[in-house]
Amino acid sequence: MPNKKDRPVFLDLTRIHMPVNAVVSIGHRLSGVLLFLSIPLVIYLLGLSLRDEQGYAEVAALLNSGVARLAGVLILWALAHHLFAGLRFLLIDLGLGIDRESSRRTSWVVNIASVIALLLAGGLLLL
Amino acid sequence: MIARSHGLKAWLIQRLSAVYMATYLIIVFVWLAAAPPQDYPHWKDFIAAPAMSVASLLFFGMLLLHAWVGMRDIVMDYVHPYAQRLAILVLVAGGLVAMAAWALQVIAGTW
Repeated sequence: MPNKKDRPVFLDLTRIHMPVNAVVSIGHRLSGVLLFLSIPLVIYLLGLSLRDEQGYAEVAALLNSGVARLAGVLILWALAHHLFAGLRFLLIDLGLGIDRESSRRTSWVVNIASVIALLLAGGLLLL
Repeated sequence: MIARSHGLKAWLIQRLSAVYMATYLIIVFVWLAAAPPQDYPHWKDFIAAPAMSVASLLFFGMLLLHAWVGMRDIVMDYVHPYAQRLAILVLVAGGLVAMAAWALQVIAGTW
């Protein structure tokens, strides 16, 4: 294939119609990267909270700040979406929900459930 | 380039670690929601308990394996120049090993 590089490439994300399954897939990757980036933060906070009384108090105060609550909502959304989409993939591995109709339906369930989780986390942490 | 021949192993690691982590997180979340630690000694005792220590260390081990497989897949999909791909993968792997050591230090520090 000498002309592999000449093939037309159309990647205008604003004009491509993305099926709901693709949204779940991209959300799974995005949330995964976000969770990966939050690992050091979580280990740091865990270590500080376990160091001594003062560290414990520092973490408690830190987690109460507005920025931390906002970050917490974002991370909880990522965790919820990653978990729900991951469960969907596991069910697909087991042969459940493979046909087009039901795989679309479960994609909607994943997206809606993670938005509900986002609203719940936001309501609990920000209001 | 790297370990594509071990695709089945990566697939299995990803699923086993996912099931373990989901179980751990749900149990710990429910436990903490039902009985939030009242102060520092309670919190430290909770984490330092032998069963919890083992479960947490296993969790971080699984997390790092899971993160490695996931990040590797993403890097291999989007970063094609060999040198850049290798550099990013080395960075990710180094970061994950460092995080594993750090998590071990934090958990073991409670004993």
